[in-house]
Amino acid sequence: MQVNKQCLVVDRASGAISIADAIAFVSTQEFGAIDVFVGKVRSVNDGRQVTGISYDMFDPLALVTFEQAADKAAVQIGVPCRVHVAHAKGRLAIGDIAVVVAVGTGHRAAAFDACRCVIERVKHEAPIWKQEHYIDGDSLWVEGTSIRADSPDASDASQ
Amino acid sequence: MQIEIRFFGPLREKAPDGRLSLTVPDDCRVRDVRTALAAHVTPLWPESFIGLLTVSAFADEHTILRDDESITDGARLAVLPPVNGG
Repeated sequence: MQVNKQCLVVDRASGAISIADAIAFVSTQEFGAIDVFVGKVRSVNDGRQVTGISYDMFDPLALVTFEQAADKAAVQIGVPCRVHVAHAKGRLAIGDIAVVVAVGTGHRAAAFDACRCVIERVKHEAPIWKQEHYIDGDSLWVEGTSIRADSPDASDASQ
Repeated sequence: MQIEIRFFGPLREKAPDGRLSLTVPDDCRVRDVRTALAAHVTPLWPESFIGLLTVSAFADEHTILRDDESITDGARLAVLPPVNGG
C-alpha cells in the first residue's frame, strides 16, 4: 500500500518537535482527514510529582522501527496515506512534546486507525527508554516491554 | 574475536561511556554473546541488572537479532533493555 512517511529523532538540546511540521507533511489535496497524536511530559506519574523526563534512544534502530510502524499501519488500513513520526530524546521538561504521530488519509476512520497503530508500535517496539525525575531529587527508569526476539525460556531450552 | 557492546537505558550507566569490548569465541552466535556477557558482568553488576540483561534484546543498527544468529569479528551489538517510548 502506498505510504509516504517522514520519521525523525529530535534532540531536545538542539530543537523541539513541531506539530505544525507534522501536519504539513501529511497534508495533501487528496486527503480529507488528518489525525494527530501528541504525547507530552506530564507532572504526575504513579502518585509522584515529576519534574522532567530524560529519553535515551538507539537512534538508527528507532528510525527503522518508526518506518516499519508506518508501513504496517498502511497495510492495515489499506488505503493511501502519509505518516509522520517524530520522537524526542534528551532531557524534557513538563509540558514538552515527547512524541508526535500524524496521519493523513482520505477519510477519518483510516486516519484514526493508522495513528493508533503507529503510536502503539512506537511505544512498545521502538528502542527508547525514559527516566523520570522527581521533585525530591530521585530519578527512576520506567519499566517497559521486552523486545527480545527469543523468550529467555526458549533460549534456555535450546542450550 | 573481539566485539563491541553498547548499552542503553538503565544499562547505559553500567559501563564507561555505555560501552565495553568483549572477547567471544570464533563462530559464535548471539546466545554465546549473552553467555559471555553475563559471565563478564556477573561479578560487577547488582543482581537486578543481571536480571535486566536476561530480558534485553540484542540488536544491530537495522534489526533485533535472534539468539541463533551468527556474529562476526568486530561486530557492534546493542543491548536493549525493555522499552517504553512515547
